[in-house]
Amino acid sequence: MQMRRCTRGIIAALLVFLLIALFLDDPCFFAGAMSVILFLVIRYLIFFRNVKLVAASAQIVRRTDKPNIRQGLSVTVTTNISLEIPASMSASYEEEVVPGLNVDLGEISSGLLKYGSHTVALSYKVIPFIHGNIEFPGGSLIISDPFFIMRIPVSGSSYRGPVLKVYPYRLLEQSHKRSEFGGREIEQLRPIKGSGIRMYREYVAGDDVRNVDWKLSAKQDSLVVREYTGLESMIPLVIVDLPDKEQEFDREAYNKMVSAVSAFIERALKEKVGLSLLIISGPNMIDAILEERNRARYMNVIREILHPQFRLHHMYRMARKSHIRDRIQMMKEHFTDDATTTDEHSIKMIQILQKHLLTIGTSHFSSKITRTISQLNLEDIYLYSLCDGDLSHIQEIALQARRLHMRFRIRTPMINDEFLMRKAFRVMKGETIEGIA
Amino acid sequence: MKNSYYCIILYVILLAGIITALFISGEWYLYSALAGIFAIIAFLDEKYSGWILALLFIGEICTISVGYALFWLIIPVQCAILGIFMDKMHLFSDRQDLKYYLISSGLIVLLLVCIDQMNHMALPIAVTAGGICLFILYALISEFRLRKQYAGDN
Repeated sequence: MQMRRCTRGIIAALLVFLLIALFLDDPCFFAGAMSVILFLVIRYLIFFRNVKLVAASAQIVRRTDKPNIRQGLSVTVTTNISLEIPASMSASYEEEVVPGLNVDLGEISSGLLKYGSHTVALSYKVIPFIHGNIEFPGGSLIISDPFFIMRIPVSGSSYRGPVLKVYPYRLLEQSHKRSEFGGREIEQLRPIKGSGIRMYREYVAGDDVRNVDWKLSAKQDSLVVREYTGLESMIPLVIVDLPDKEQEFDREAYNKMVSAVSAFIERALKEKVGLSLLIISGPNMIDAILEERNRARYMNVIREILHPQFRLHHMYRMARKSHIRDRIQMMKEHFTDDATTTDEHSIKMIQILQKHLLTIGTSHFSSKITRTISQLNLEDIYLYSLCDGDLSHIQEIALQARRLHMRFRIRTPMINDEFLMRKAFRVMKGETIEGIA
Repeated sequence: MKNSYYCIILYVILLAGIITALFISGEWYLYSALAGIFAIIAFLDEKYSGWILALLFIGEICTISVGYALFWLIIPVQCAILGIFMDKMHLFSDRQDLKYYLISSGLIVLLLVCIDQMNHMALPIAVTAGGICLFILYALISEFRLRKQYAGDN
């Protein structure tokens, strides 16, 4: 139970009156103080009785739109609360959120409800960052009158639930087991028709009649069809790295970045080039639109998805295979230079690193990036990012782009931030970093 | 500000108590000043921060002052001030509140009868302090039991 400011003021005045009564031995001060003490005691008893009435009237029903969900996706929770509030009282209800669940959108508090019977529906979205069976733990009733406030946790068995089953989202890729017959997955390019004619041939059943060359057919006196050349699309890939919703970021710079992405898309669509758009937030894939020329779809994505996102995974604690190999190589070179060395520690370190290299998995993000960019016929990759925080995921994309001989450029609105840029140039050794005006 | 039917009666009782004290003691300036200040605060806008506390504080000064003129005058003046205070805080919403107000007034009468019998204030103050401690303990236990009832095993 907490006392309101008014009650605390009254108690302070009462203490002064009681002290004066004690020192002056004055019955008038004592009578005045005691009357107000009696008043406060009776008010507390009334308050406590009303609290019991409100708590007994509380009915809380909670449900989720899906019973099962994958880690990192959002689920809508709807809680219906009905309360009976006596006169001169007010109450509110607040949902308790399990650590590991992040409230994304919506309200988890009912706001202040006054005298009468109320039915309130709270609807909010949560994103689970942990996996397993997560039970919603109930909430708290905050009941108050002009003198006192009391918070009652309503988390008994009848107020808890439902249980949300959260399946883990893998951070590491499953190890590929080749079948006994040597089969493996292959990436296939989709055939896109060009405008040039490769050859003419006789019509066979199943050919598209639109490809029949009527003039030539008339000359030859048999149906001749045109066979067009294939077309390789060389449209660019734009990767947008959204900032982490849980971290502080420069909102003005972010807006500038979104405007730059929109302008790039507009320009590409105007020139009828088309493009592919990949949206990530750290090492988390958010959405992808590949080889699309529909303007409305891009605009919809910019409006709906280009907002800061909660990051489920981070890569800053993951050692990359290339880094480990470089480190081993460096240590071995050190031995070759100085053949007399007997550094036990370094030998042991090489053994540990080599063992780790055999067991280390590939991150799910890396394999998805590889799959995406190798399936597209690309020359240029543009990555739009604020370049703040961890840049491991950008390093990973740069590495994949280098392997596949693609030009990779980072575009950032933070080019004038000396501290961030010094760090970015150090981490992204040799990569092109351009500023967004 | 609109006053309720109860509140007008309470203002009349308060005024009668102050006028009686004024006639008994003859110190017209003190009681007139206190009544004036009380009236000003009582009719101030409710949005003024801390006005309700000032109202009760001036009311208590009035109670103590009339007590110096005649001890038994504390009863009507104190009851009237508490009633006006409750009305200003919108606590006279139903008959239940009126019942509790009458109980408080009855207890104040009993309290004054007890105080009137005392020669010194030290002992009643000590008893009051003990009583308050016991009441706080009772309140804490009741609250704990209520919380436990709704929190379940958590």
